[in-house]
Amino acid sequence: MPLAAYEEEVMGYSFIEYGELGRPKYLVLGIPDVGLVGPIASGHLVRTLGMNDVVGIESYGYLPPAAVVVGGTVKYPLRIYVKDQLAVMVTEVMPVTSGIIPLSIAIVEFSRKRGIEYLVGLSGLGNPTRAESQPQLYWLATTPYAEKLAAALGGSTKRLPDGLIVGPYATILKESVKRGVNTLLLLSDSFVDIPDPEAAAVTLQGLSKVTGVQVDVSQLMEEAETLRLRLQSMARETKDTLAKMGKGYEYRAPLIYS
Amino acid sequence: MSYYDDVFDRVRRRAHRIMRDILSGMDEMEAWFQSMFDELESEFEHGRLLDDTLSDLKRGVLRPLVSFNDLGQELMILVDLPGSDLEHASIDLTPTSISVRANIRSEFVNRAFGQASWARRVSMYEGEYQLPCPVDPNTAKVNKKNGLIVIRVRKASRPPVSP
Repeated sequence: MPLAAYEEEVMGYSFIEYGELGRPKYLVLGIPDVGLVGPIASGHLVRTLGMNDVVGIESYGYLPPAAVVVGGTVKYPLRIYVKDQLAVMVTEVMPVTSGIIPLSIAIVEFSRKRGIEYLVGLSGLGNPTRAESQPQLYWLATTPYAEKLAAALGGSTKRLPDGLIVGPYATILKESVKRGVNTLLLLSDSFVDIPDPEAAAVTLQGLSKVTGVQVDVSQLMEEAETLRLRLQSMARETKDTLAKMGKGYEYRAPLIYS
Repeated sequence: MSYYDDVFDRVRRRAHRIMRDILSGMDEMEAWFQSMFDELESEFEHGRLLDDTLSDLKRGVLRPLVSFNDLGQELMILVDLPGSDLEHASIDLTPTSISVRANIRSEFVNRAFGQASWARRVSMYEGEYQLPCPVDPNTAKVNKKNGLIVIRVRKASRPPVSP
């Protein structure tokens, strides 16, 4: 792990910059949620685009005392990778339940301070019949600028219908609205509690359209079964944390409807 | 308003303020106790999880992910067995539980976990799960694809209520 050149603390999380983040246009978020769509998609992006990690995110209050070893190098469990206009946040370890909201606020605030134009969240939308259907992509935007970005997705991608969102992205969306941050959330139908590489591939195809960065998902599809095996423990941990956050509320209709 | 009325009014308001402060302190204490209990519960859970995982790994066993989806008249059960030969997987569905046993191909284990020492013995999925509602196993329709077993089964009609 290289020496930190700059360190900033937001909401109990330290953003430790040991490389050159610069001012990327997009920050793609791969936070664990339904189907582990975010972590699978962000991991694939980093590998296929050959991105370099430049920022580590650490919290001795909200994250377990874990260090990740990759190729003999010690790394932070949460990292931001960058290449040209695209930055990607990779999450290897889920924070404790009480650390999810501070992390979500910290990400939005860090992006705002660093002048990142768009936050793009990649996540899953639990669909009980996902095993018998192809995943459909949905989007949700926090500002008119983010809505313009979504226009590139085309007519086949729908705006998220009325409902409730529970979890890290719910806080990210609310904080983005409050702070005027352009956030676009891409959600794909996915398995509820089984890692879903196919759903991750669908969100990556959507990301390619909105950012113009071409991402080949063929390797992701070929390795889907291996990934599902590798991520079984992470899926279990994520389900546990999300259940404690009240994820079950997503499966009911809102009081006011359009 | 007489002088005494004014004094009583001030005493009453002060008493209200004291009561409010005490009650708000109680709320804080309650929240503090709740977080303490949550933390304790989570510590016990983590301890149990570690014990279970270590015990399974010693036997070379992984507990597969199983997902239950309520579709109204039917229950959809997903059994995730990546890297296994589904034709030889053993699934036993009873009205109240499902048990699973399947071998994992070693090349999948190597690709998924690399040189991780804890994964060297892993060679099998094994687990038994309680169903969220009783089902009629005779109505089960099974579909197998890419390491995933999808079972659609009718829910059992309710047992007659005894008088």
